Amino acid sequence: MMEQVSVLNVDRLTGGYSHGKPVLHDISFEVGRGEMIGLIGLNGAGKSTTMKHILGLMTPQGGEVKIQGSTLAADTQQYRASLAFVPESPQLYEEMTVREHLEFTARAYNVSTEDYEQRSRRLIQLFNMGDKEDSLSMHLSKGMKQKVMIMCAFVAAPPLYIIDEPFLGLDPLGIRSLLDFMVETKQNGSSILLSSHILSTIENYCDRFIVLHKGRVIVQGTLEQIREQTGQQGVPLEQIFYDLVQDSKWTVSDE
Amino acid sequence: MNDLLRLRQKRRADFWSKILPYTQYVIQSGLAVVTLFLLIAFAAWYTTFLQKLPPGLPVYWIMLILLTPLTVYGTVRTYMRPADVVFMLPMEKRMREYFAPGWRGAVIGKYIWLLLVTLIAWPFYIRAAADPKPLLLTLVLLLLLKIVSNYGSWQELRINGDAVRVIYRLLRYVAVIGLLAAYLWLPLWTGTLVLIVGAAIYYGLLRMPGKAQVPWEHLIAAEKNHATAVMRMLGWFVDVPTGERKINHRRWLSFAGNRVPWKQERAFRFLVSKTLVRSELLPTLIRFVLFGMLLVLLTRESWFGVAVYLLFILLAGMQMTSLRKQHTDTLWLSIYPLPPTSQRLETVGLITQVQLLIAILIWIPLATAGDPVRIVWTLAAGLVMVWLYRSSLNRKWLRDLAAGDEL
Repeated sequence: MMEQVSVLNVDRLTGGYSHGKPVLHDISFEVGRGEMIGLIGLNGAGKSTTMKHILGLMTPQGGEVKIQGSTLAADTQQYRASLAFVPESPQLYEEMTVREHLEFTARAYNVSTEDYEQRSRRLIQLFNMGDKEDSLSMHLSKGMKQKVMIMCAFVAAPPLYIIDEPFLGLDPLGIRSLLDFMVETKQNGSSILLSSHILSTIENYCDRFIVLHKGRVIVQGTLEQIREQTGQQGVPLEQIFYDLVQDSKWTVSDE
Repeated sequence: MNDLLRLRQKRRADFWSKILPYTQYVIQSGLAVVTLFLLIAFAAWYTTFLQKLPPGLPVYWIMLILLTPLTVYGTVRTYMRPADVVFMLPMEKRMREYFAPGWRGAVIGKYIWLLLVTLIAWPFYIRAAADPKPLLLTLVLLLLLKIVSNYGSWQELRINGDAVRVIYRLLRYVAVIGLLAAYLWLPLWTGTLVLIVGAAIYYGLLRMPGKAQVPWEHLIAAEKNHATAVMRMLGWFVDVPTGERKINHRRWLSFAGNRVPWKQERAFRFLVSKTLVRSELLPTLIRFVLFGMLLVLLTRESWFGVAVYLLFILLAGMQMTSLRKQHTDTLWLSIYPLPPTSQRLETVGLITQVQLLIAILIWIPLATAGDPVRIVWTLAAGLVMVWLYRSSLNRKWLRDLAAGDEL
């Protein structure tokens, strides 16, 4: 259940790749402790740009992003230690094996050797990577690379996970393992900001949803709240989303 | 000119247009001066060496060592790109036209160097050999062997099955080295006959295994490695994009980095140690050290040996600076909570550690003969060189950071 403490606070965030042409307009939302939030939107809606701002890879043109009450500039190392990221496309070091990726991540996040051993064993088993743990990442299939990315994030065990399209390339077992593990992680008090196009799947897992369209938050809340706001009681998320992005009432910008 | 030839020509021009702007910086980096110094020093040493040839030199072995690398190595530049496997596949039957200039260029390019090495070594050969072979015949036979070897290396890329490909690569090495040796050691006409017949048999053997018409993936990988090697070599002198890298598992070295203390500030050393042992840098360094040890062994009794020793330590350090550029663009170093100084400190630390090891290894052949005082002072100078290089690397890195070149 959502608690009052906010792990991630995005406040009136405006940003993009060039000044004068922001991609994000005045975005505000929060992720509470133990919450899983679905960030949804069409291609180009600004989901990845939002994530890049949260990760500190882009500097806001306006507004601010705080993790556990601190901005990146205020305490860079603490800020970075508070989050783990799973990118849409796996980005691994070709020269390292699966296990070495986990070890490097654990070392970088200052995870104790005991915790590392315990978590890595569990993750390798959960994601069915036992026979690949000594393979170089360059020799893995795309789905396996994605699993390594996910395992690296979870071996770090920070308070906040930023997960961008994690299901791409995963086999059905992998998707199921990930969803189960995310639920467990959430129950242990960590927070997850998840972006995905597979709305029928995340509908049952996320506590709240943020619908981004053309760089603006057009609706946010629990599924019930969104249904109320859009007047579509009992309708699945996918249908609500489809109607939202089609309906000019929600999508016309106020510029 | 047909479309495929035009395409190859355009790609070749594109590649060199990326390289050429850097050459002025390479020259400015002091390479020209060092090369000139080395040439003059070598000429002086070689002249003296020829005048007073030590008796009992293994002349045939020396010639074999000098001629083998340039005869065996046969890389063909194809300038192929990953997208070719989709867009050029429909033209597979016509690809001979695209590859032909590369085949010719590879033979001619390497043969010119082979010619140069042979001509330089020839005065030594005819003085030291009991029964030297005629120069012209030698040059013709070397050309024949070069063509056959290059043809073999191309066919290897086409062979189906990794194991068969490895066997044929070994066969090429054995054939080229064996036939060169036969020509050098056996009497003139026997040696010539063995070389020609042997080359013909090897050519025949190459026709046996099943082959792909165009080995797309191998060619793309080989081209990627070649382009990376060129950029890496440039990277010794100037900052260039490192591009794609060739990675080898080398399981026997998997322990590297595992004993780095489990501390957040040392985590980068774990990564960069893996990079060192699994990238192409390691074999390059090993070859370089072996070559350095050989040169130092040959020149150990003169001051020239000391200069060669110090130069090799410096060049080894320059080669390892590529480690600095390996991870500048990786996402994870921007996201992981690593202390901001750890990348610099750990990379420079590793380079210094390896450079120290190299300084000791290259010193060993130098320590086998000559004045003991000079031997000790040379080692001391080598260690000072390592220390100076470390300071210079740190200074340059901090300067670049201040200029905002890297995060």
